[in-house]
Amino acid sequence: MEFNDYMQLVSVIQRRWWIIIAAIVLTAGSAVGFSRLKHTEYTSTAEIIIEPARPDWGLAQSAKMLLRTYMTTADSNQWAEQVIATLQLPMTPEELRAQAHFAAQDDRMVIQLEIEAYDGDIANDVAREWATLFIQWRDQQNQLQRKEDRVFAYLRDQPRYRQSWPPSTRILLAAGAVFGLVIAASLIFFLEWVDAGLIHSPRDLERQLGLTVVGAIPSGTSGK
Amino acid sequence: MTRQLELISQTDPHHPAVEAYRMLCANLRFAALDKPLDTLIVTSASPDDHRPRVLANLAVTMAQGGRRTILVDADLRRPGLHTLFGDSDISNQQGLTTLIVEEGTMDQLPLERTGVDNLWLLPSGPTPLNPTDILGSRPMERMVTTLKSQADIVLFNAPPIIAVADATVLGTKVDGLLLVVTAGRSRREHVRRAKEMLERAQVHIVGAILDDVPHSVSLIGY
Repeated sequence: MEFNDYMQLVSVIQRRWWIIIAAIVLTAGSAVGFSRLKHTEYTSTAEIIIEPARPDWGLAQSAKMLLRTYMTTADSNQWAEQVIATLQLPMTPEELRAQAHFAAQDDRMVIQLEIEAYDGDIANDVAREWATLFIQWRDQQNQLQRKEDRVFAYLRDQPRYRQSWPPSTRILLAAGAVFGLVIAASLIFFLEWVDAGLIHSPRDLERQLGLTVVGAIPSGTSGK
Repeated sequence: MTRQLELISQTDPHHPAVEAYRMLCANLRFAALDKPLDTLIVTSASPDDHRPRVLANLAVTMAQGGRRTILVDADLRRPGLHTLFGDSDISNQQGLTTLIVEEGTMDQLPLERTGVDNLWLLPSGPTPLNPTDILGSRPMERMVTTLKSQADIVLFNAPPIIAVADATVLGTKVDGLLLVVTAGRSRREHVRRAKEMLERAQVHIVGAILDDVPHSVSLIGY
């Protein structure tokens, strides 16, 4: 960018500063306002560690490959029904599964389970219960295997919830402001693009179109 | 109130805009030193302007300067000058189109008094089906000559150049053309296209009138 470009940029900002302010205030305010309208949401995370009985490469690879199968087994209506029955939750298995998110992390040999709920304690209970069901299922499966072929599962820590929505006001304001800035920049770019095609001064007519300006009538007499 | 604002040359002679019209008249006098400018069209590139207001104020200023001025509404598609003068609207029943269609009545031009000394208006008359043909006809040429003989200056209001060919056709029968451009509204591309069309038709473009100019640009207000 050359000096003239900077000067042009400064001139555009001087003319359109109110758009920037309005967009930032509007988007940041909307973000905070919208967050206040929504219920507070909590997310509880449970990590189930999967550990083969033998530390040899073959069994470890098999367990890694099976991680996704384990996850699919756990993420079912049947298991959700058991959790609902145990905790006496007023919801359908489909609704509960919509609030549960499973992820297999084969580099850590971990199945991560995240439960979202409007109540943090309930989120913890569901995560703990679901993880317990999984551990019990693995224990049952292990009974059918030779000792050296078993794959154990256990809870890494007790599930703990955290507030997932709304984020802190500071973060919301910052995100809203950035979004507002992007909107303002787009709007200003568009307005400048439209403006560039318009005639503003006698100089525009004389230099760019080669027309002699014989008169310049000041504004304020348009009869509007 | 709107009419008063439109004809500011008549209602507020000390307004800065009126001074700008006086300056415009002076510039036109200078421009006429090389070649007489007794018949002038005032038009615009596209319809987004206040051309009739600019033209009417220019005519009033010229008349106030002591020049016998005839204003002709040659916008046969959307005539409007007859609504700008006097306490009540001037009748548009007789005018340019009736003179052209009913040949032989040139001796008695239906010129309307405007309430401004030295200024008369020839309304458009009833809207015709073929405005371009009427403006390009031989009777129209005779009409221009007749009007010229009865005034010091004849100003024609013509429709936008890009929209229709009327102004270009009429432009070849008069001494020159003034292009009204509105600051912050007229598109550069439209003005460029209008200029090209006029140059192709060999119409003499006297210059442009830039309307709605911010005070900081016009520097008027002394």
